[in-house]
Amino acid sequence: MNKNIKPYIVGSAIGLLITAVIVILNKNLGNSNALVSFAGFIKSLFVSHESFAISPYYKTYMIDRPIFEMQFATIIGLMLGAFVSTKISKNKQDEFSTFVPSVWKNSFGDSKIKRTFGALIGGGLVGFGARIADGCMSGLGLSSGMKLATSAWLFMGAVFVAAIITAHLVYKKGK
Amino acid sequence: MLNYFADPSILLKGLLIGSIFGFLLQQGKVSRFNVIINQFLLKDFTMIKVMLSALVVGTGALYSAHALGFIDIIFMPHSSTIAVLVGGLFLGAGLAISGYCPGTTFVAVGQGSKDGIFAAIGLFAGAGLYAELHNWFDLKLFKGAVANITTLPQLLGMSNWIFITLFVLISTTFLFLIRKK
Repeated sequence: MNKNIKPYIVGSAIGLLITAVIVILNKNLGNSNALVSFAGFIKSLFVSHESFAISPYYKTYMIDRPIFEMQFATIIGLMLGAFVSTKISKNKQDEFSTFVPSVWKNSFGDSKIKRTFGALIGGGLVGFGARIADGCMSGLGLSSGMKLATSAWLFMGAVFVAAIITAHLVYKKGK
Repeated sequence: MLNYFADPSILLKGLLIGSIFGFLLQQGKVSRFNVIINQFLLKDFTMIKVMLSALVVGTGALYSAHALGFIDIIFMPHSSTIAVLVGGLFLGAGLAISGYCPGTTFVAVGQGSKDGIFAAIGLFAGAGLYAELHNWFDLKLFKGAVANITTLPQLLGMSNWIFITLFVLISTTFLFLIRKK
């Protein structure tokens, strides 16, 4: 496939997939609810199960419905689909199979420890932000974006503004 | 007592949806750190191309399905304006550092990006931290905030189809102009 049109083809297919999920299942294609359920599952290994019933937030995710529900299976599927995609692609994989991506390396060097902290802190902010907004880029951004929900477009706008500012502050320009 | 697993048919549906989505995201290269960061440095527009194409096609398809009666009501998300703005700023700042948003973090793990594993651990930790702080956010910071269930056409006082036509035309023109970026 012509590499210039591929992002448009893939994006269109994603649009149709999410539409099908909304129309058939009446659900957004999200995964960030499962983050809470799984965090709660880890917590449940250390505290009494009754403690979830008194937390209004965890009650929704831990008591009122199963811990491992559809979004959790979606997460497993995301890994599986990506694995298959990588196996059948002829593209060079070295761009993403290294621990330290080249754009990160240009600014921070090839220390694996620095990149580990970057991934942990960045991932932490992403998970925290997704729960504040009650949605992620696919569930709130894309799924509700195509519903033309005002909140979805405000959310995507805030994500891009913060990400563009942060990227320009954090990474060296040039190259 | 905790209830661990949903019905197998529900899990199977989730697995199928996730597999297709993960395959597409990986093919679209949006699960790559370099592609995402270069988007925010405004050097590579792959992420915008994928997202905006999905939004244009999805909006047209969803509202057509609605007009044809395949779906009765299009439910709006129940987040408040302040929550999506504050949450979006946190998520955006994190995305510029980790390089992976919630969905693509798991795609990164599946494609063999080892840093994705740490981004995933961060995701769960961040969600867990929010769960502990939820009451403070709900009762203090977002006190009195109500769900914003308006749509963009309502906000602009337009009919749905006029808005969608304009949105598709403007977005398609923009996607055409950035085709070489």
